[in-house]
Amino acid sequence: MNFMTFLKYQIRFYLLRWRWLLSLPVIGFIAYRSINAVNALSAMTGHPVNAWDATFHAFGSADVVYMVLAVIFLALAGDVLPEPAYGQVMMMRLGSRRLWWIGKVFTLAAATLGYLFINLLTFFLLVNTALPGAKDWSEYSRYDFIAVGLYKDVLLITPFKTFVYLLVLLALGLFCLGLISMIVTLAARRNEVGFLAGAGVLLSGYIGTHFAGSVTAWWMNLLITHHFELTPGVFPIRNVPIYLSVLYWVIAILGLGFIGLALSRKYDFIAIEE
Amino acid sequence: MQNDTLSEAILVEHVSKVFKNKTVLEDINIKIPAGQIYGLSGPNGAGKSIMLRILCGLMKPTRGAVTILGKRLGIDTDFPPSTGALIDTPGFLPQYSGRRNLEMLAVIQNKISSSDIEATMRLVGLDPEDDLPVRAYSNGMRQRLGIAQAVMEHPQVLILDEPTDAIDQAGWRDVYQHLLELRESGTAILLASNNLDEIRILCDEAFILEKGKIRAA
Repeated sequence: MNFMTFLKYQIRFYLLRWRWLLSLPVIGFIAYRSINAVNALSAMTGHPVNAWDATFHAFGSADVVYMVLAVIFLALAGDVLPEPAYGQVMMMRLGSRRLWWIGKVFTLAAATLGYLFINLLTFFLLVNTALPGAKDWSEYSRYDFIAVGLYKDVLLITPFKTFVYLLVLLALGLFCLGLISMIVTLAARRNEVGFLAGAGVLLSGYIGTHFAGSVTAWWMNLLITHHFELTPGVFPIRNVPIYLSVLYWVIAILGLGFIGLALSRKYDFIAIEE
Repeated sequence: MQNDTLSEAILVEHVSKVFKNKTVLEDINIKIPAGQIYGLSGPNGAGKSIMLRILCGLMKPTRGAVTILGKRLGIDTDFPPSTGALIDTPGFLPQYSGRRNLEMLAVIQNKISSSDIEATMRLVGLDPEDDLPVRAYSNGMRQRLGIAQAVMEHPQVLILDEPTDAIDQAGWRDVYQHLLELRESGTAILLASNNLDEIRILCDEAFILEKGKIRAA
């Protein structure tokens, strides 16, 4: 009961804010850009496109995923820590540092899902007004899947299933980046430092996308490059099976969760103004 | 030893706190029995707030042990049981009324009713029917609300840092009166204050903290 009340407060305080809508104009612009791009491809070749093409063109792009979607998320979710004064008196009533940390992790998970839901819903609504919806791949996707940001194997499954894979990888990736940011904030006591740490990992992944096809060293697979996007690389490829990417994120999330738990047991809560 | 622990509401044994090789508290020993008010005074930077944060479980001592109501912090519990606290600037959600802020805190332990909250607000001189958001409160009103959140759940231990700070002199009397009533009901109170008159009026014993050490008792 105590924990659920605490969690309800966390979600109300951190998630029910207008600022989460700040990303929508940017998503609107990305939708507009993707619609124009796939329409141009269609006009050049004469092969019709559909709403899925615009979706994968946008979310299969490293520029959109790393430099827009993830960066905005890190900035918006960045104040879950450090705990302000009101949160500290609430935590004393909760009575457990472990539950406090778990509450923060759940809040971040809710933020990740909410963020993806609201942005992707907006994106879908916009592209479906301009392009036809469909259950199958478009003629253009089958003609030139690389230009849409896809790789060959996904054409064997449905666009919806491909999109679910993309969504799972994005959700796990954003959640993990948020955790890195939260743990560094916990250690450094400043959320700017936490943001920079998350952005640093993000940047390493983004740089990795430019080498994803050419550098085959084993350590390249440790970068988030091969796991964050469905189609990593400037030239869309996927060397790592999706189930291994999911495992990669699950191991990282469990590891980070335990590090946060250990840190929170020793953490000194200093005075933080609201 | 066990009996000692139980008879003292607050027991601080050999507590030290070191930040980056700088010792801010050194070998602090304090015993506060139930039904007593102890004062803690000292210049700014002496380590009072850190001491109070350690007692609240918000900071971990580098060495030593803190036991509150028989529960050792960090071993038996993370945060002291049945303890109300007002440390540093009281923090609230500025968009909500004072009453809403208190209700959101009270619902976590679910020990008190809405009428208890109303009564506590009146006790500290705030109107529970007032819908004014906390962002519009004066410093004095925020301080009164801070006291209300500390005392509303009838704690057995009360830790207060400059409770009458920003409150006008007329308000002091209400606060003093309530603290004395709490003492009579068996609450152990640690009151950090640089107002020596306040300590003289209210406290059964007093400590002076200077450069991280207890200088006098």
